[in-house]
Amino acid sequence: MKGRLQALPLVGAIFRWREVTPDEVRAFWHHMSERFDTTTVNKEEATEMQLVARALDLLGILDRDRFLTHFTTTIGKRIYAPFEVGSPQGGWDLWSQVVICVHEHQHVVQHDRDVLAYEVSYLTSRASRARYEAEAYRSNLEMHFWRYGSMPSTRRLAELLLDYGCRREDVEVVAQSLALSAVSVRRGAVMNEATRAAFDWLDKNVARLRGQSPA
Amino acid sequence: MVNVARACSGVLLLLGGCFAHCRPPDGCARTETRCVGNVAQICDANAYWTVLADCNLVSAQSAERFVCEFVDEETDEGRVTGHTCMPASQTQDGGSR
Repeated sequence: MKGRLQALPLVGAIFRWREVTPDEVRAFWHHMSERFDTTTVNKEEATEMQLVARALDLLGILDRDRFLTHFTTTIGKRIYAPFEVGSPQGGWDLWSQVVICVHEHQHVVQHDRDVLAYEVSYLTSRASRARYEAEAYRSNLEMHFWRYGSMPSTRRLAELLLDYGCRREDVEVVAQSLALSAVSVRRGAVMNEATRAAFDWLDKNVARLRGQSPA
Repeated sequence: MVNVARACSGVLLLLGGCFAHCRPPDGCARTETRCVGNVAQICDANAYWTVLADCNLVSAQSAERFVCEFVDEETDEGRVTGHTCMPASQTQDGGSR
């Protein structure tokens, strides 16, 4: 909703007030791409994503359009974004584009760290997928705390894992993992490598956004 | 084509099975946590110990040193108990437990 409002001509500026600017979002993505050697691809235009979307739809796992518009996907060092970086749209306001950038780059960290084990166990083990996503969602916690000085609901974040084919018991573990991570983050811990790289840029370039109360 | 896909998925499952379950479950209780050295671990839904946070890595990325500690805190979402990384300056012995 916020992204759609930010995209409105003329009045959109009201909803971009006290926000990160489109140029800053583009510069941030550029920083992260350089730091982790990644490429960003428009998801809807990528043939391989169309095929994956169709397969997921046919298997009854996820609706094709929902996969293409609601989910950013990372394979190796390629990030498939369902939005144009720096252009707000429904479901993807400017700040959420910054947050998802960090989340996806933590998956790149996992790819670099665990190599084949990451890709294979992510696809074949629900518990492993839950663990990798818990780690990536920890970046969402860290980013939210940096921006607003408060924690989002860790339970709600954990329940997003149901969309990834995880079980209730996996969600329970992720909720506990995120709740404990939140305790550390409140004490000043920077737990994820992607978040560290993000903070380096954010503190230098958009420090005005730090600790803002939510609009 | 179908056979190729079947063979590929077979290899993938075999690899996945191996990466995920080459050893028997640790037999821990789901969501249980512990410290192993300076690493916080959590028991997953398949009863395996997995890394929750490496406090040495956290220390390297943060402004101060963190150690693995047991916490018991009341938060907006309820009580949180378990092991995680805490600033060494805020722990009783400044070391891992």
